Amino acid sequence: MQGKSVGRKKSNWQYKKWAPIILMGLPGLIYLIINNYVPLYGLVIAFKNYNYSLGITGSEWCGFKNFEYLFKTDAAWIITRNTLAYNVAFIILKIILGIAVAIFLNEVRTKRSKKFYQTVILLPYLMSMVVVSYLAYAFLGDRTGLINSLLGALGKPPVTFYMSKQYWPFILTFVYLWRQVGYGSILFLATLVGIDDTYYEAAELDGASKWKQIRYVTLPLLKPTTIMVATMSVGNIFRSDFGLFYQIPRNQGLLYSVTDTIDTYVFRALLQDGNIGLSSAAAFYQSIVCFVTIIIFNYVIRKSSSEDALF
Amino acid sequence: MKKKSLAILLALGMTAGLLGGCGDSGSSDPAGGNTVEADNSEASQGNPADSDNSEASGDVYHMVMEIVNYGFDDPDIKMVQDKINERTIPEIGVEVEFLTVPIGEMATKLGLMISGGEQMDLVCTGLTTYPAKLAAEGSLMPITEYVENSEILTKATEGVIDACKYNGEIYALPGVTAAGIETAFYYDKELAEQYNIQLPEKLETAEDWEALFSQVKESGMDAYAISLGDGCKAEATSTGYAFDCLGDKSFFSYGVIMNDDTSDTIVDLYSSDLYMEKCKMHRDWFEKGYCVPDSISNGYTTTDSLKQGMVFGILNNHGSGMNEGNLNRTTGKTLGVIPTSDIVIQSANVTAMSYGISTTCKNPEKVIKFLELLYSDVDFINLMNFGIEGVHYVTTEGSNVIGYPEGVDPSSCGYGNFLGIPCDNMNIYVREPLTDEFAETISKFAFGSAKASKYLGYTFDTTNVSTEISAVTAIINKYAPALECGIVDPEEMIPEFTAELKTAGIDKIIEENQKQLNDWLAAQN
Repeated sequence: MQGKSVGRKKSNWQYKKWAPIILMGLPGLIYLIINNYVPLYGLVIAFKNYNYSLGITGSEWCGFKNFEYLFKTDAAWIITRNTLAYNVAFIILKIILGIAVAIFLNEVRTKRSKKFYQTVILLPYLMSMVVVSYLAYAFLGDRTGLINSLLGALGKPPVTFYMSKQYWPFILTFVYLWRQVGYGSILFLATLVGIDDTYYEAAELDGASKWKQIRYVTLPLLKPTTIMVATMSVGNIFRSDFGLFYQIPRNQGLLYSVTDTIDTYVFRALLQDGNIGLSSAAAFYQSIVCFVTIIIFNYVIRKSSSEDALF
Repeated sequence: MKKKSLAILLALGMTAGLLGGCGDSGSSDPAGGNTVEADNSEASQGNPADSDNSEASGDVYHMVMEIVNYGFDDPDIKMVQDKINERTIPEIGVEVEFLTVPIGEMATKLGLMISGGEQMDLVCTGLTTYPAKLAAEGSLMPITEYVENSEILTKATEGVIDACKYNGEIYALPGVTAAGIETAFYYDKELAEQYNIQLPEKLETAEDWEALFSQVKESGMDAYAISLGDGCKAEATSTGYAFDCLGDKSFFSYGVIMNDDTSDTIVDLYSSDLYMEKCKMHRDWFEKGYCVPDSISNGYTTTDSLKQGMVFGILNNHGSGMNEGNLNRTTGKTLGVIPTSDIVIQSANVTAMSYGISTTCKNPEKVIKFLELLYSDVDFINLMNFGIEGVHYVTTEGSNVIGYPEGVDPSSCGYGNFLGIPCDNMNIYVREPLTDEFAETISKFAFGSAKASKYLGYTFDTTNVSTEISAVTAIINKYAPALECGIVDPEEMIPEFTAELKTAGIDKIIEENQKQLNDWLAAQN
């Protein structure tokens, strides 16, 4: 009896406490609904033979016909494999390197050099992919590239990078990490800054070395952030960094089997066709696989450490 | 308590402010964004209800015309637009508004504008798209009745109008009346003279090419003989017009019919001997160092490489349209032309530069009147194509050739950076460095003198095989550029290529195409 009334009182109090916050969040919520939920209606285009003059409701239904082209050749397998494999590698490497960089940055003591390193490491992220593609070309070009000029000076035969697919998994991973690690480390750095110094003082008193402090204090405290970053990245595991996969290999046909992802394949197919139905179908397929992966991932997390699960 | 209510008040205030902001920007947007159009929609909304009575014909119809350019708007386009309106408003009651669209966006722009309910009347249906596709997706209005009732348009498009038909209705008008086309080797005349290169009349066989390119190489010229670009069809057209592509001019994915074949059999270009031969020739050029070896990845188009003096010449289409003039202007060089194929008239070339009327057009009669001017009035056509006399060009006496006014050069000329205007191009001016000779040769591209393909007017309805076409195109994208730039060995790569095409379903496309073609041929007789 008593407990119940306390509960009611509490929830009442909470309602009052949260009301202004909810009101403040309202514009954002409205934006979210307009921007992310209302366009969901457009998904029906994926099942329609879209005709511009008839509009969305007027166009004919065509079942799953728009999805067929994705599964016509082994293209669907190759692009799904590439998208997935690259993203898995990217997520893992980005987290490991992100944490490492964050720890290094956190250990830098003078404020000025800390700022300097932070800025330098962030710079690549601010660069447009088109610019990055020309930077890569300056290194990899057949005739004028830096690497081939060096090889030439050493009397070695040139490497035709834009025709040899064996190099590309490494090149793409390298470029991606070079560009993303700085940005990826910010979140970890923010968590690190928030860790109470007393933990480290206590560890030091107990005679823990620097490595042990990282291993037994820093890393466990970073775990929630890591899981959050991982979950958020997994949500996009079927969406590839379009700029990276389209611009860096310079759209070379010979490299498609290792550089083509769902996004680039669809982009190229539609660049020629401009068919809205087909592009919606591809986007729909991508969203469905994304949704399934995130549910599975969240399920796994909930089983292993339930307090870190997203939902 | 006081604090709490203050917080609520503040929150409310912020929300209201934000919402108010939203509402404001929402309502002001259409008005601020496009004043001309907002005015017009009011004006024209009254029109359609009583468009057939005399009151409407007295009104001025505001017409939006698409002008496709390279992504760079002419600074003087407004000036020319006003000048055009000085004539069209009193004469035919049409007020023109040019809407410039970069070529990269044109394929999607029309659809977006139509679904957005924006006005667009006269639209380009060629270049990266084609009338049959736009008609099938409901973007174009059938104009058969208007064209057939107009003497001017019927006469101007005689013989070639069939290419613009879809399901028996006319949906577009050929943008140039002399629609014949050939492929040609454009070379830098200055370099040819400087190094004393002996130029053949025509380049057809591998030997012809070898004879020319070996001279270029041995002359000590600091340039490659040719650039094959990134291997995309528009740039490496050395396959010429030895076949009719039946509509797909970019990928030849619908199958082709060889010119010397009389049995109307559609074949896969990529498994043909012709393709193997061409790829071997290009491979030979690559190995001998005639072509720019990294053209596929260096990011320069063929035109860029010619402009920079990296190459002696390039391949491109040659016809009566603005192609040669455009190349002269963009490269800033005086170019010579050696044809590499016969002149042909095929459906794909007729529609390559064509204009149609969008389904959102509220007054097609007026647009047709405007088109009639473009297909009959030479002064008006010159104004549309070259701008204002004295500002954008000067005439020379006794000649059809126009030059730039003093102090103006191709890069500073304020008008003319677009990809073509639909018009009768038989009697218009030609721009330097073209000569009167070019004006005379136009007639050889016209219907009657150029050889028209037997399949002119046939359109492949791709509805049943659209999935296969997407898949096949993806495969072509993968192999063709490297093969056509000579980077890979055709003996090795072509079998792999054709095998993948078969899996993707090229046979099914050809079968469907052949069936439709046979029906069409039967209906012709």
